[in-house]
Amino acid sequence: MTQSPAKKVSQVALLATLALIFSYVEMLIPYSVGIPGIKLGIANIVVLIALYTYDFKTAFSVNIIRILMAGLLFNGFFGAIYALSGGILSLLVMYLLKKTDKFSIVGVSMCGAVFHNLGQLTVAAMIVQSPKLFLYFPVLLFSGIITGILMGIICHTIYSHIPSRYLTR
Amino acid sequence: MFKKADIFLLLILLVVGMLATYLVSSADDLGTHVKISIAGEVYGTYSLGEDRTITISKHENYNEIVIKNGKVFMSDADCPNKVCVKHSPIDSTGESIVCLPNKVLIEIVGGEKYDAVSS
Repeated sequence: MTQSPAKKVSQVALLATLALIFSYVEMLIPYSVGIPGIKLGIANIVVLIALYTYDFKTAFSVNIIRILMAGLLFNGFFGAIYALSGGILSLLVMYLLKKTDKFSIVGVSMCGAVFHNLGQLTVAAMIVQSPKLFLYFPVLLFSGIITGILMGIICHTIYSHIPSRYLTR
Repeated sequence: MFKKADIFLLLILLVVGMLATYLVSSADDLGTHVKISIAGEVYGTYSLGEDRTITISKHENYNEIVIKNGKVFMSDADCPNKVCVKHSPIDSTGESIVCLPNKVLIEIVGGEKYDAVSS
């Protein structure tokens, strides 16, 4: 797998831009369920596709760039910290699950969403210094399962439509 | 699209979720009301749900209690030591703030269990 650094950089940049746009689109969707922390996570589609078409490093870079940029642009510093903890944990879990080769992209996405919520909740509980925040855990777990499966189905659809010539590294 | 392992994973997560729901609904008890009493006499009971400020000026003493975001705290008092004012906000059943010099007691009551679904 030899490729020029320039190609790599532009791949990551393109994917990160796409993920950032998805973050923005996510903000535009007016859905309020009344509980903070529940969101669709459509930006994760890009990260997951990056993980499947390229490698862990690419997906990781895309995710970090996306979160930092979204933090600077929309969410603010603390939003970025929450998102970073969730994003890194979720990507690690998704990478490990993908590596076992036992799960489909839907299962990987589902677990990623759940662990994203778990990571955010843990950091939030640490910052607020109140374990009471874990009362939200069941809500976030179930919402993670649902949104994760939804995004996974979208990922599966997208992934199976990418022509195989683009899947070469 | 789905593999067997996915279904298995989903089942595990669902079981964890149900366990967590069970633990949460049986564990903590956020109170629903604030009971304020002065020298053992009930002064009034207020809902934690709505933000408000209660001013007590009985027996020539002055206490100001604030209910905000489901928590209660003593925002002001004319007692000398101000222990009650320094107390951090409370929100769980059984917790209390006492202003001894003015004999004011704020208690959280309402034994209803915290319900993850209704919240």
